[in-house]
Amino acid sequence: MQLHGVTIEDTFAEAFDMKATRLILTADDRRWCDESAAAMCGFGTSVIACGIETAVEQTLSPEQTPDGRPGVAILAFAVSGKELEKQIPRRAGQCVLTCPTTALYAGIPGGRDVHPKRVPIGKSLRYFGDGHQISKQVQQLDPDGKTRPVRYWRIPVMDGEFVCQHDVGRVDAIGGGNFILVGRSMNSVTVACRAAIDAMRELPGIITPFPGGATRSGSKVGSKYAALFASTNDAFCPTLREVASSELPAEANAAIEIVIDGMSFSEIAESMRVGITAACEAAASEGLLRVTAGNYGGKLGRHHFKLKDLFSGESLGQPEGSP
Amino acid sequence: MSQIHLRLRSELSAKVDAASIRLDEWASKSAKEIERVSLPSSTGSVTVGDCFSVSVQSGSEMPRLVLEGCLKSVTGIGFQHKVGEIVCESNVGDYAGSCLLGGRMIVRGDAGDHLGGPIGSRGVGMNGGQLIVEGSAGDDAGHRMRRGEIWIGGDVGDQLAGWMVAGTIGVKGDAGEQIAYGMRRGTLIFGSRVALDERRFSKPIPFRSAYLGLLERGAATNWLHADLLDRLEVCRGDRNIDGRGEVWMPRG
Repeated sequence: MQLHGVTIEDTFAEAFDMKATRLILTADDRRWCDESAAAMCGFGTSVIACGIETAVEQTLSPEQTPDGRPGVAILAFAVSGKELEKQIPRRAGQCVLTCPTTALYAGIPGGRDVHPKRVPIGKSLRYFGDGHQISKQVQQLDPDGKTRPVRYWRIPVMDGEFVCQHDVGRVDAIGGGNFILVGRSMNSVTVACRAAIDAMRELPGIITPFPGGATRSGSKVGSKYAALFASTNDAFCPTLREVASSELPAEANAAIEIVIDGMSFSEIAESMRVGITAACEAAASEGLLRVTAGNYGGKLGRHHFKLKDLFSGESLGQPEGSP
Repeated sequence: MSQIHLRLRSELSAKVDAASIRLDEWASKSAKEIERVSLPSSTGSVTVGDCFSVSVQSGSEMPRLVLEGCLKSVTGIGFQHKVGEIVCESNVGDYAGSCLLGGRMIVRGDAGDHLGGPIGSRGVGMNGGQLIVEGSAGDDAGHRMRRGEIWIGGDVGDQLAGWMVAGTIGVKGDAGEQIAYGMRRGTLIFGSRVALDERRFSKPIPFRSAYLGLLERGAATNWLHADLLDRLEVCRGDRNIDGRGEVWMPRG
């Protein structure tokens, strides 16, 4: 298949199950908010070594946040609920609690009766208040007539108070959606990658957690070294083209991978379609040769995103029980 | 779910105790069954049908009870109410919303004494839900309150929030004597300045918190607007009992 003259390979991206949550971070002004979010999402590129994969999902205007201040929505993904429950309070404690004027709220609507599995935020951080913390419950009358109070913690800090919701629900999600941009030069894949990421940036329900949204160190499953469970994807390394089994065409000299974590199969599929389309439009004339995807023969995960199906409008082969 | 309308037939000559009205139980009853429920009164027992004309409509999303007519002689409306909404279209008597547990109660007039407070020897007053009085309230409002919210659109009498344990009470207008005596925790929000006992409450200090933004967005009342929230001060107390309650009021 060709898109704007770029070959879309007949392959699929292989993704796996993850646990996810969404946080809303606000601050008095956009700068404090962005600085806190950058710290919170720092070193959150891959579960291979970071514990969680996390990034800003969307920028929120004051009208979109719970307290009427500028904010961001942050998505965080982990391989287990336990890991998410460990990592989120750590990052919130070091990167949000510490940042002047910030507050942190749940971005997954619904209380314990909707999402019984919860990730603690204020529930853990409140102890920083050393007994001066204040719990406030905002009474919320639901359409069924039952009151489901939402609990917040107000922790005294040096600029006033740090306000933090008690906890946030966690949900099933998918990590590892991807596509690989193969180009004649580094410039061609850079142009393609940036166009793709710009187009995907404001899509809801997904993040691209690597720096600038892309990684050059795409990995394969396993390694010759027993201690590693992932190693360089040698089939896409241009310098190994003549010495190892390669998937790069002769004229290709660079490849980079865009990795996508999403709240649902359909959101990842849509983001891949948007990203690939933008990349091809922008970089076909710059030397973008083909778009392919990382699949590991079914060894990595049960969610398969067939590239051709993204553009055909056909069913994408979503497995039963997918989020 | 059903919406129940109780319309007062004529002005009551004796006090009627409505504490046995339970919306969650009434939601599955017919109008005839509700009419037969007996209510204690100062002149003996009466039935709901003696005092009110009853109509029941189904199809409401949540259980709802609407009371019409001057209910100044009716005490204990909303006692231990927990699910759905009770709307009183006029003034109500003492002990309205007593020991409220959940749901919402709205009074579109004035309330008597002991709003949300405990009845008899009960040690806990309001314990959840929202109690909204669009007019004024009498003495002892929010006594021994533990959880929930009370919003009063007018003035309030003496002994507001006595022995308050937690929760939130907002008063737009003036408050009487002896505010928050024995307050342990919780929040009192005033729309105008009030006089606190300096021996029991700290001096006011300027207050800023992101929580004010949450409150402005989510409050069940419309007088908590930015003009007020941006100029709040906070006093802490009751220090006589090592209380950590807070009283917010606008700067003088």
